[in-house]
Amino acid sequence: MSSNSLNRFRVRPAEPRDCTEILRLIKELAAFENMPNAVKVTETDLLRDGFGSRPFFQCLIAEANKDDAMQETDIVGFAMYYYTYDPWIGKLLYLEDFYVMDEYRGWGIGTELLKRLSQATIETNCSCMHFLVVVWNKPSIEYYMRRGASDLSTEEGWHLFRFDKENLVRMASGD
Amino acid sequence: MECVIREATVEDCENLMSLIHEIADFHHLLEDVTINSQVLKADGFGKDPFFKCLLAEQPVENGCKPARPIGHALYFFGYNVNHGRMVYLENLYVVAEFRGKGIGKQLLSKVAEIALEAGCVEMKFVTMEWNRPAKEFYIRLGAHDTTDSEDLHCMVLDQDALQRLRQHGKEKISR
Repeated sequence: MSSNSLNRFRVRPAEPRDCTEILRLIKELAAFENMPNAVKVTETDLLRDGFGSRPFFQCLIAEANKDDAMQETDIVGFAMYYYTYDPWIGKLLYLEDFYVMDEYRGWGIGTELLKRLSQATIETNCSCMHFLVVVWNKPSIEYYMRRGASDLSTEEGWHLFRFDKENLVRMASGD
Repeated sequence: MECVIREATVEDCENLMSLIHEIADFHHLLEDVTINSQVLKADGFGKDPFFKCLLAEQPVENGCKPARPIGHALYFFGYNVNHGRMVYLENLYVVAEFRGKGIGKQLLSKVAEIALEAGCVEMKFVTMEWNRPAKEFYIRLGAHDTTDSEDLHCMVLDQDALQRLRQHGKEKISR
């Protein structure tokens, strides 16, 4: 675990009990991106896919201390990631989602989450961290560029494609 | 053209590395390949595999050893925070003299089948903007270019940026 000097928040690995709150933050981020109906995953999905016998993702949680003597905490940010592979350079860390609630920005939570992600990337011998941004999200692009990120789509012509489930079904049947 | 699609094994790593070199050469990026067959063995066939791979081979007579593979599909599982389990197709390659014979489609069909069995709802992959034959191949099969349609850009934080973030969590540009 790690926290800032004022003890206002701490970052820790997510646990199964956090799935309700993780889903809340996922929905908040989707709403912020003007896609409130995009979220199809459920708490059951998150529990099975993140904390079952075959995890598909890992998650860091940021907790803020409440201003009362009981020292309860609120989950105010998260980062979801998993490991990927580039056959030219080897293991990579892929950052799937990264979000801090609006009212908790400026506390250094994002910085601490990125620090922990960078540690995980280096300590697992991954070459680099990949992620996606929507190019019109200027604050987000600037946030990452200030920290040394490069845009591979612009600089090297990478285009990300997607096959939806119906395409997968058609291809799997050999059509 | 008839071919046999099978899962790669640790014994295939030298041949697989050779196909990976061919893809890099096709992209004029051979100098970017920094791993070798030993790394592939450790990363794909050890205790904690980071990728899966299918090989395409020509059918052989009984008792004869198959020739070198004529294509491969390298993939791994990931997570879409809104939709759930997904598969990422990192490499799809067919040796030049065997292209145009339906082998790529057979490999893709098998990956789609495996992905659906694993509960995946989508497949993602990257193609270079200049690679028109590849883009047309995928679009004909129903893929969407999400860099074009949704302004999604692929970003990277390299080793230098990660080291800075790990140590200081600070921005590249000092204030």
